[in-house]
Amino acid sequence: MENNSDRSLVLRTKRGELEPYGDLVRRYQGSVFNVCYRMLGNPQDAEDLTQETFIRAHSRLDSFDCDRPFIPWARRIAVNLCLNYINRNQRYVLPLDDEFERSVSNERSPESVTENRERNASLRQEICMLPAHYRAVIELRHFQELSYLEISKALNIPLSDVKSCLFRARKSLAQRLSTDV
Amino acid sequence: MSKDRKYHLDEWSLQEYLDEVFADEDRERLETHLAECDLCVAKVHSLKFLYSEMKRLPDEPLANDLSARVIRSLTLKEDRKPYLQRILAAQLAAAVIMFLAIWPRISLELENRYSLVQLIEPLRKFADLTAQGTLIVSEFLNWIQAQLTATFSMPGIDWPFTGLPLVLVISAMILFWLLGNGLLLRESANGIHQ
Repeated sequence: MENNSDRSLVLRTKRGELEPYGDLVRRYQGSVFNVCYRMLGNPQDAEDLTQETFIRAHSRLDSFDCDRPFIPWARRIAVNLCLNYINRNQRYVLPLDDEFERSVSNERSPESVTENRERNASLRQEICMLPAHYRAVIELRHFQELSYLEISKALNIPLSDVKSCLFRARKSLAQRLSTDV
Repeated sequence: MSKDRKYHLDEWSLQEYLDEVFADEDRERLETHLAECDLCVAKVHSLKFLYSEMKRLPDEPLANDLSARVIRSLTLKEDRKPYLQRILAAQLAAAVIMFLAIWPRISLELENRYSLVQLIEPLRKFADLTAQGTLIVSEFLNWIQAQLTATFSMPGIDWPFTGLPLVLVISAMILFWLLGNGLLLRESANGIHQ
């Protein structure tokens, strides 16, 4: 089992093997994809950025401390890549692909499924309507559960900016959700 | 419970309260206020609702396995590494050769305008002046002022007439450099998009 631990896979990748890195990608691609999807709101772009995240992570693997968990590090890279991507492509205030909103289990009643799907779509859409930096702090705070200080380091912005972005993002989201309900 | 209060908690404090970044003392003060103020409690509930909505947002399934694409990109990148190193080495060698090729022209231009003695003269003066102590500082400043006010001109390139060959060599260097960097950038883009 030790052979398949993150640490072991990263160490083998650092030694030049690519196959273990493929295992890491398979293990965590879903998690990284969801970071990108929440940030971008578009599954196709989220897939591309997920791929880019793993390529970027591989190129920076030398600076990665193997004793730390791999996925939080990869997810932070994903957030930064998405942030850059959004800033480069200013079109990123777009509606979500309804077809892709199929997250709810089939065991529930059709009404409940529809209602949940709508709520999820609505929340994702509201997040995607936020400015890029607001999205990033929301992602890091609420979905990756980082502290203010950790967010500040991850995004390389002052702590005061983290607080004000979070404050404004939440205020905006709360207002929009309350009008939706 | 008093419903009508003269002041209310600001939203910033409420958010920090929910983030649990308050000191115990501030937390207690805030909770005391919440115990008496329906309006602030409603604000907290609104924020809590937002937090819980985000918490329950489910992960989306990934439609495609990306591992093969990632590995293919990395393999392509690995394959190109020796090729890139050769380009960089060629760039460096070409730059050195071209610099050596144009150096006679540059040195000629420098020599025409300044002798070596003239070039190191300011340094010599500086060393002399600093050795003489603080009294000399004012002289030194005067000297700098004199140097600054004197007409100063860099060795000129008399293009496009007499310095044309020089311009051509420099242009060729720039072109070669840009082409090399273009290849590097293309490599990076290929690594990203499969």
